[in-house]
Amino acid sequence: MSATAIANGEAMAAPPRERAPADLGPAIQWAVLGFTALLVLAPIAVIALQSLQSAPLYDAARNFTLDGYFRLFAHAEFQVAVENSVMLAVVATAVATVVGVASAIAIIRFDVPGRAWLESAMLGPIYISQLVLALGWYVLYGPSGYVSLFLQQWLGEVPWNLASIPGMGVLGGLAMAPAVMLFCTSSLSLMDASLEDAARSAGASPLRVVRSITLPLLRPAIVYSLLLTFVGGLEMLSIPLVFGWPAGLEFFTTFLLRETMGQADPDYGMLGAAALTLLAMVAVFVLVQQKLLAQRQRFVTVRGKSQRPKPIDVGRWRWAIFAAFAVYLMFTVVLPMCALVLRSFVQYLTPLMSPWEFLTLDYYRTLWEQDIYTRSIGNSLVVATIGAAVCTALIALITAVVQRSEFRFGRSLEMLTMFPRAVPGMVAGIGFLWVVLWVPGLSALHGTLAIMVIAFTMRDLPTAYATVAPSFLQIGREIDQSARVSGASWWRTVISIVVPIARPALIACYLIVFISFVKEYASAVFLYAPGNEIIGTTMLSTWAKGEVGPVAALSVIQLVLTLMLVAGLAYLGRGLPRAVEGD
Amino acid sequence: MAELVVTGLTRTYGDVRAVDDVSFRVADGELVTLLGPSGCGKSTTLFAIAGLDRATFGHIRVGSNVFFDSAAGIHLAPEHRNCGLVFQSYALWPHMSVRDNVEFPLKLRKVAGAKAREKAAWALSLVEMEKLGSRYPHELSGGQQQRVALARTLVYEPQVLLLDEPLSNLDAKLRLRARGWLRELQSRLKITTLYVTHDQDEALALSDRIAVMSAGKIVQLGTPREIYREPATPFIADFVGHSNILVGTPVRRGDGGFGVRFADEQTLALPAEPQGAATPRLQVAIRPEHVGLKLPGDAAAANVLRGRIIQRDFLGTRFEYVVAVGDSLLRATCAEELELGEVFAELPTRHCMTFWSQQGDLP
Repeated sequence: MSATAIANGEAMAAPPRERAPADLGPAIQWAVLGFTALLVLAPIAVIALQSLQSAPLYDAARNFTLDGYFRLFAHAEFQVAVENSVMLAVVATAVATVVGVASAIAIIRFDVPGRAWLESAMLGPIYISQLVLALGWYVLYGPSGYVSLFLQQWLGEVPWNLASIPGMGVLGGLAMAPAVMLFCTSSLSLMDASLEDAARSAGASPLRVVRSITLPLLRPAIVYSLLLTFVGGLEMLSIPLVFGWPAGLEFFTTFLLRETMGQADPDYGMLGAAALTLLAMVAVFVLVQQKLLAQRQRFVTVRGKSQRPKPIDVGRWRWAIFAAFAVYLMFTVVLPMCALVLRSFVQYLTPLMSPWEFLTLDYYRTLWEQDIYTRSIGNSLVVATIGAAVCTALIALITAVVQRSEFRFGRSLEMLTMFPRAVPGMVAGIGFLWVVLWVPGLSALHGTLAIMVIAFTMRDLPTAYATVAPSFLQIGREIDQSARVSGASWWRTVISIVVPIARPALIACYLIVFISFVKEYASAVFLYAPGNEIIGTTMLSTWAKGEVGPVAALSVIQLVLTLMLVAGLAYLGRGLPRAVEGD
Repeated sequence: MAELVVTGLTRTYGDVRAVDDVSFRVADGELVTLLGPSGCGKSTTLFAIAGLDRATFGHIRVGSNVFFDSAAGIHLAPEHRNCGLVFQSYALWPHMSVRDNVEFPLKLRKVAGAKAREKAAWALSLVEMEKLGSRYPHELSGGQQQRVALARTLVYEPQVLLLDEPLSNLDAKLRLRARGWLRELQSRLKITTLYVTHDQDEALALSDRIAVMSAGKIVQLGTPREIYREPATPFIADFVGHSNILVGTPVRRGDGGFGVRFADEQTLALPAEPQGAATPRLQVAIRPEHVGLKLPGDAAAANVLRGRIIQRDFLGTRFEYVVAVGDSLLRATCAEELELGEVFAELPTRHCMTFWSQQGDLP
């Protein structure tokens, strides 16, 4: 059979235009934009509307008014709450920045033993829920914590009071330090090592190099972290709830929680005003931060092929620094988590009595026997398994439209996707609660897992996008162009070419979102009802009842779940570079 | 198969006209090359034909099938044009094996089963890649990837084949071989082909006709021989064949013939007056291989300029010289080894190409 015989046979036409049900592309692109806009803006719109009404939205006899704002700002407790929140945020920002920046420089730049190991250990707490960290610290260092009581016994007094605003600020700072460190390490590893080498050759000592070269070049990352942690402090719920609530200290978030849940007849106008005020405060900082981030490129002097940074030899100090890290990790992460695990197996945890006499499996039996606990764990798993899939699929679609189509509003879609970064979890929770309660036809969603999935998905859009977008960017444009020219429509190209190539990133995204959904509590506190509790909300409600044991046991289960997924992520991370190589 | 007709194609980016009123026609089965330096608009033209870029004005059709018509608002999506485009980077889909890459366009055309396998095997055999069907793109060398990219395009027998510098990522030796079988394959399949390159050797060797582009316009369209022997402008003479360009004033010689006088008062006899409206200055182009070098005292040579050899490079089979003549530099190649210093450069009249100086021309 000669080749030309086939070549000269019947010619193939382009894929038929008539048979395909028109071009699906634009319809899909518009649908993605519409759905994302609804998901992101609906809860905010309801809050904004409610804040300007004299009565709840379900009440027909209501009118437009600014009274909600007046009542809010005149509210004495609100003023105290805002003051406390700002103070907490300031202290937390200072602590997180100092710890985060110092450890990033020490680990990336100094010749400290076991640097790779230290780096993962320092960054590890990112994966632990702030609530679980706070509980661990409470069990050890709280007013009746193990270490506190131990010191009380020996010194006659506890040298700290963590149920105070500075104390909680320090804890908040420690909780957020890993995020600061992560940001600074990535900035440091982009930095050209020859800049520092040049300073060394010019006669600068290692310390002088850090002060005159490394720190100034790190300035954009530091400014960014300052804003990041300040916002984190403002919207923090875990530490105010665990430490502040028993001490009667009120914060912005606990104020919102109490005014919504603790009142028989909540003042909806004022609540709307409060939620919107918090949103506005956070949004301003996030906007500033994004502006700064855009300019950050100017500071990156060399990228890509620059020399691999060589750690500075700090001589004998290397062991001192290593010891400092070891002590820090021991007291902030290892011991608190061990204490939490131990607490879940003993009836009492106090230095006055040996824990071995009170060993018990009762709490785990309780988790097993009481409906609410099994239900919460099951619900969390369902929400995470299905929700992470929903979120990942949505993000794959959004990224395909933003980066891989000529859709006119791609840029707007990207901004919408990043917008939830400015929405505190509690505000999103209130928004979705009101949407479900007051938008006709949606009340069926109230108290279901579906509303949890929807709210968590909205919350995690920015994280998921940040995970997936870079991988999509790495796929050369001509990879889809060649598919288009070969006869594939936009949609077919996305399904058959782009998504399969980006699959490793999508799997990573699924795991990251899964972990985040297992941890989530802030937006869920308003959305749960008997039947759709998740681990986070049950921990909070059980904690409120003063039952520490089951909370500890729940924390352990959440920790184990998270650890397993992080291991999966690390395994996947090793395989990632192979998957993105193009030609 | 059908002819490709491009009429009045214009692509603007703001004030910049990347493609400026380009018209040409590629006959059924013909291979036409768009040749030009980078940024001349040749790739933009190619992408507009493929549908990956939307032109601002103009008309593109293949046979009776209108791809683009700015007046009628027609812009066919790339997937409906049935073009074959081979990218400079090959753009093989990294997650598919060679065979899957080649079969994907068939799948899109609802060709399946034995028919698809047969087609794919045929396309792979055209490029002698049938044995490597189960490999993945990253397991292939550059030359092999290039051939798979071509097979993936030929498998669905596109109406027109568009090639975007397909050989530029290959090393010199491989490029020469690939050029040979590309030419052979194209003439065997008789597929209408538009080839984009900045490499004059490729263009001369492969093309039925060449369209030389500069600053968004086609400056000359002709067979390789026409382009090489009768370049329409000094730019083309320089771009195709690296001609030397000398500038002088036109003179009538004693014998009545046409000639040129340079700033240092030396003169040359020229074959004829250039075409077009006369201007005060004249450009003379001559290729380095046509310049003969004679030492003072050698047998008399006609039409010579006196100069000095100021540089000599050894290129293996020949030497390349730079000769200073007045204020100008003249490049010449010859097999003989000469010392730096006084020399006579012979510019045979029949090899001198003449142009009237235009404003904006090369000096």
